[in-house]
Amino acid sequence: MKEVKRIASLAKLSIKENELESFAAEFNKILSYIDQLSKADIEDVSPYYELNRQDRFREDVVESYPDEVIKKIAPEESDSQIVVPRII
Amino acid sequence: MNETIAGLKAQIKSKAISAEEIKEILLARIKRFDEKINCYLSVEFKNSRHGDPLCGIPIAIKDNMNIEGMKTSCASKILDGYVSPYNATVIERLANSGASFLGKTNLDEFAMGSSTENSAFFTTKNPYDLTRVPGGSSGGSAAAVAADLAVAALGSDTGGSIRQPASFCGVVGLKPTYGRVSRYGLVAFASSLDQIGPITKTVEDAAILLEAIAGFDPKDSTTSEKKTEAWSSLVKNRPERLKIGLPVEYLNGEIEADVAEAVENAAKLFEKEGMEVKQIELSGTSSKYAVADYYIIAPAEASANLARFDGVKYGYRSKEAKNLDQMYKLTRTEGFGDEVKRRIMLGTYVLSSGYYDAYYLKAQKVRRLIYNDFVSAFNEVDIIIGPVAPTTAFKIGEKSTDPLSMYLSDLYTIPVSLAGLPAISIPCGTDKKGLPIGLQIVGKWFDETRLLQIANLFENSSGICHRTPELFTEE
Repeated sequence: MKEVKRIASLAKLSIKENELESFAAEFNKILSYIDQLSKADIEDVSPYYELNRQDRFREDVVESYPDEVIKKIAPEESDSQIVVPRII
Repeated sequence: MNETIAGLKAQIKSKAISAEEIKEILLARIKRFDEKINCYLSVEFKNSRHGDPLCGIPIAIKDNMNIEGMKTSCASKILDGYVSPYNATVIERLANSGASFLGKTNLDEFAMGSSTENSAFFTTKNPYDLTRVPGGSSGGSAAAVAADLAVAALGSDTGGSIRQPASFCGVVGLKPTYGRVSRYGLVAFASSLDQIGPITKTVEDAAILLEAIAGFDPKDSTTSEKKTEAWSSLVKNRPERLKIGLPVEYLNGEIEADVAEAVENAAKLFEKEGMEVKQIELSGTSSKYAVADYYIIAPAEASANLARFDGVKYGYRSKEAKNLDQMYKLTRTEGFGDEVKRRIMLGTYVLSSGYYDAYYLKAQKVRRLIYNDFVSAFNEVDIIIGPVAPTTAFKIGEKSTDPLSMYLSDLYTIPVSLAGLPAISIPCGTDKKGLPIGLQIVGKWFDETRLLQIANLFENSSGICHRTPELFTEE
């Protein structure tokens, strides 16, 4: 359960105290299911990578949305700048 | 309104009906019938130019794809208030092909689920039995097409999210080859797996929509530069004598007898049509480890992709936060549903310091084995057939309290996704309860042409195709 709390904190989530136990039980059940992969014979197997993958580059130019878009979609804004809680 | 894109197009051309009339009929049907199944999250008609090839025919869109000026919710509270400032590439392409848009369909939150029960808003019901799920995650799109509340729809498929709901709702669902269709503007879940595809009433309609949306897009670097084909006409050609493989392990596991029988009958029908059907054996890696493999890879990628939902730039932001860190935590804790949290946690865990080799790296190696399995199978055969899901539509609530049992319902679709192959689900019968059964047909990489042709052959030869459920017919 301590581990669940640690992972939640890494993921920027919090699990309620009263739900911690059931969450941990469910989580462990899934982990023990995926742990069966340890039985797979993967010696000398190279990891999968995307088929036909090739790197593509584009010009490094800034594309920006008009100010109205920020005004419309930001949870909080001022002068078309996104506002977040004070950091310092 | 049991009409297809191909049928309506002909009627529009002969002036038997207009795009405007189709719109009115569909909006009236949605108003009358959608309360029975709740397949739409929002109904908002959007016109584009009414030209060839789609002639103004309206398409329903799964609500994880962006349409400019409309809400995109991903069936999540965390996108509350978000109105997209841009079009997904598939929307742009459909609009350029003359399609209109009918509305946004329900899904499992962020496409994570197999039943739409994980939607933060409501569960969509199966139009053939209102006590059952429509499948998922593209359950809203599949139910809308099945109930004739849409002519056709787009869905997205990560581990089976187009094919399984199509199977449960008795419609056609095509997951193209990974790289065939641009995901620009599709809200990312697991980027090495996500693919957009059509959900339609016929194989021909799936071909028409694929032709409209496929092809290289500079905005999605995973799209292939391979040339697209004239699938809308090629689909009608009878394929040459093909070798069709039926993996023995697919029918020996825990599968409902009616489903196994329908798949075996499909194999017999292909033989009767002059195809060579042979039993094949995959090495066992796919069937034994695919689901476990998927539940490392997909959550790992999801945990990274969903890091962007932090309350800063768009969507929901918790009102309670006093500092930045609290804002992230509260926003995400209040905004995400249980299954999404579970998968973010799983992904965070398997990628966390010290676990990478044990989980993600190992999973990518097993994925290579699964991929190799299909490479060898396709050295022997041209097409693989099998079930889409081990059961027909299950009851609402039957699996929702046991995530693992829900995950296991995707065991036939997941290996195909991990290998990046194209696959289609088409109706191949009904079980004793009268519920639709889907046949999964898998093609070689980028061989959508023969995949569609063989599916079309089955549809024509079996005579099994979409029928409007009784509850949704006009008296």
